[in-house]
Amino acid sequence: MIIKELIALLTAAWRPLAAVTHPAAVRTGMADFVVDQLDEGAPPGLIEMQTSGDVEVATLTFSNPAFGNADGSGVATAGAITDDEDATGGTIAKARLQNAAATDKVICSVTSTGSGGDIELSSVVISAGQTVGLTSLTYTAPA
Amino acid sequence: MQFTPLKDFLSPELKSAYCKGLSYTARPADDPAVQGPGKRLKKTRENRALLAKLLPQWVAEGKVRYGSPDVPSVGRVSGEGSVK
Repeated sequence: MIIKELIALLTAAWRPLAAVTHPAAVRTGMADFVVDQLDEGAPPGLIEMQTSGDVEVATLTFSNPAFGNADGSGVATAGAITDDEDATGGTIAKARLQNAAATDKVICSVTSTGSGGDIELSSVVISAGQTVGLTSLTYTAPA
Repeated sequence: MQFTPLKDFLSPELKSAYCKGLSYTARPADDPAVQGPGKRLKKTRENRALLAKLLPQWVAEGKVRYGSPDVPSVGRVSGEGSVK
């Protein structure tokens, strides 16, 4: 009896935490809303690669606009991204996708290839003066 | 499988830094969708296999937990790049 009541209590407690889902058209709208913020002000926007302690390692530049329109499933793909051909140097741990005024819009993880980051680079240990580039970048809206 | 670091730490094995609260994904090493130049492909597969081995250890050590960061639902960024 006690176990039954406990299960009922837990079930009730979990119900408000259930995730919601969004129709494809809404996801597309959300993706466009997010990536369009990178074009605010006087684009192009920036991708600032940072250490875990928020110190800049390299700064790449988006195209203007940064991303094309999201596809029907809420995925937006970035246009060409200009390399940083003279990196400051350091160990990259995260990336901040920013508008031209350097206001953060998306923050994501960066690791070496195959190590699980949102963005994976061939190496995250960067020497001063090295070139850092991104060959592809997508943003996917919440499901 | 997604995981979230509970603190900042460095993995010397994977030569990567992991940041508290950000999102990471462990993917299958033998995923046929993974492509790229031979050397890079090999490294990707090696690191993915190594991550799969390290992940349970990190969970046991309290460095990470399985799952997404504590938000109702999350957008995703996915990218790839190189250093010359």
